[in-house]
Amino acid sequence: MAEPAPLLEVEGLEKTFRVRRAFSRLRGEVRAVRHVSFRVQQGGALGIVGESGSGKTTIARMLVGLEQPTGGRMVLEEEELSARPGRAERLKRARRLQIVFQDPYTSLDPHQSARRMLDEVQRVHFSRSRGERAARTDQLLEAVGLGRTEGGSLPRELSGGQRQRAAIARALAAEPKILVLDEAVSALDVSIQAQILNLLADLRSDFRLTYILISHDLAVVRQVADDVLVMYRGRAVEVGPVETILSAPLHPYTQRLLDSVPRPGIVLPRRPATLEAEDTGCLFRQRCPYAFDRCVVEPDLIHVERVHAARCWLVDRGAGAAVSVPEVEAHK
Amino acid sequence: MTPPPLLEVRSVTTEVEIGDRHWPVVDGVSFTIGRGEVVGLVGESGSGKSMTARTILRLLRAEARTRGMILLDGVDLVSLTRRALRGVRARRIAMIFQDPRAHIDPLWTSGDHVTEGLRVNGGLSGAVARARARELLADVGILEAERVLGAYPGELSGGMLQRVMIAGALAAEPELLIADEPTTALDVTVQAEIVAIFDGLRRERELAMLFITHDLELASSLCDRVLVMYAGRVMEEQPTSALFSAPLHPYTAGLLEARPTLETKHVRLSVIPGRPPTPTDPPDGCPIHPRCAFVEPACISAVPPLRQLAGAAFSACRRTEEIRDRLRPEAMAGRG
Repeated sequence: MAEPAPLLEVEGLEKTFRVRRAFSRLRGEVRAVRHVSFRVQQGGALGIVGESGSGKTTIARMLVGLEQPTGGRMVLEEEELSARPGRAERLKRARRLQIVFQDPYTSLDPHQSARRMLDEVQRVHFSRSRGERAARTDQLLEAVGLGRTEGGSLPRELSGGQRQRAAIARALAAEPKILVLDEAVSALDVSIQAQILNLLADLRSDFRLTYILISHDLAVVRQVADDVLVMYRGRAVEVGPVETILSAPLHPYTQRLLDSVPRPGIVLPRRPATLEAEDTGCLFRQRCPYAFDRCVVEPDLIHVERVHAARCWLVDRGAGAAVSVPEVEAHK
Repeated sequence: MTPPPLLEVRSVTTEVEIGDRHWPVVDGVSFTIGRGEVVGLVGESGSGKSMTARTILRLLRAEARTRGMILLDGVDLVSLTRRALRGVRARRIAMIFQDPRAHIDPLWTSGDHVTEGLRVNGGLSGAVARARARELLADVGILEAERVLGAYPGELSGGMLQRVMIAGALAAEPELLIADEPTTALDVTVQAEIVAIFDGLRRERELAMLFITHDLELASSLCDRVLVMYAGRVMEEQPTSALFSAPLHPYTAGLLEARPTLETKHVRLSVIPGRPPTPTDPPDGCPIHPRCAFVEPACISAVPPLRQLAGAAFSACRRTEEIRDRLRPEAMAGRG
């Protein structure tokens, strides 16, 4: 049976930045996102994980129109999103795709209370009377667990957790289909983070939301996402269902990520640090303990199951029995 | 008999000016660090863990007031003159921070940074200092030492720069390294590499560390003992493995339960309701009582002191003996 058309389809997405850093002799091009493709079904939750510089935040910013792709297509509800949206198109996109950033302190207007913010979002997107808007504002504040006092407070008068609730309410006010969460719980303390993660779970079902969760924290991804895209230096190196990726990772980089999650009493062996990284072949091969001659050519994503693929020659059945996927003890 | 500790922090309170009066941000904190021992100071933001570290080295605003004793080999740092304290900072206790970019001059090369202490305090000549700097970079796992020495911070990754900052901190061969969230800004793979460096330093040089982090799991991977702080006070102190398998304080148990895990997706995460108090609005009695499921009237009427329960196990909960079985992870999981 054919799958229903995906809510969001991203195909061959590219972003190349031209850089010239201050106090530095470095200049040139950085391929932040290299031909990344993925699909998200209505009601799904995709986690995008990777380290800084992996391109995960750039993907988020391109989705919501804050960054212009240098290649590829983004198709939302079977309609292609423009790389250079005009005003009308930006408004239309904002109705369907909203983003919540890591630090609500820098992404919220410091002079607006949550109530005023929510009112303004509604004035921009909907033709509602003042009373209708106020009623909806009350609903939104209640949905994210903010009381009347907090609704009337300025961002600086709120705690970190309350500010993130306000930012989530603002995103929901546009009644989007997709909520992009860019490290949205990363800056929060553990006790507050758990509250917001529970809130996200409630909102997903209450508002029939689709999530794209950008995070470096695999445990957070486990809690929120159904599927995971693992990024390394702009490349998607592994993709699959979250349980599969976390219990049976195929790509050596995914394995390294999982091994690096701190565990009581376990210190990994020391590894030397090197300066530069090759830009050809498999991008992970200089850090990879299993690199072999084939790795000077970069593989495509190789499917081991219909839904699970990794960009590594080790999973290529054609590679022969001599090379097998290394076992990773920590995940048993 | 156990040897005397390298550092002993004894009933230390630090008050800072907020508004028109002084409020405690570190409140009666006591602990020890032995030679070669790694002690974790864990807490959420505002818990006083960084202020405790800054109090040790007196890196506080001028109006801050500190009471209590901080004994380094028996010498009280609190009553030391500024000049004598500078000597301690230059030679015996080094500190590194979360964001190396904020602490390394962007117009200095790594070489300038690492050799500064060697030249100024160690009296080494330029060439000798440079050779020593190369060794220090090799000690922290930097392969291309010469190239990194000539590089400016803007040319290096955050992980590489943190290694440079550690190398600079090691230059004076300190006995104690205070590391304040040293890996928080780094990728998880780089974090694991930095933790491996710390572990090596502890084993090979008997370097003692005070390791400050908000991440209990991270503390557990490296530290011998962990102190959990809340609202400026120590809630619990235990050897690391015991802290995880048998926490003594409801707050620690709550923190352990609130973290999502890799193994399973939780229907709901258990939460610690509410949020931490601010220094200017401390609750009566036990500071966590408004958020604690085990609260009784007596918890509100007086501040419970940190009590020694056995050997290295301390708890500031009045009810530890009575409720400790219910705080174990397996019991907490069933509580929902």
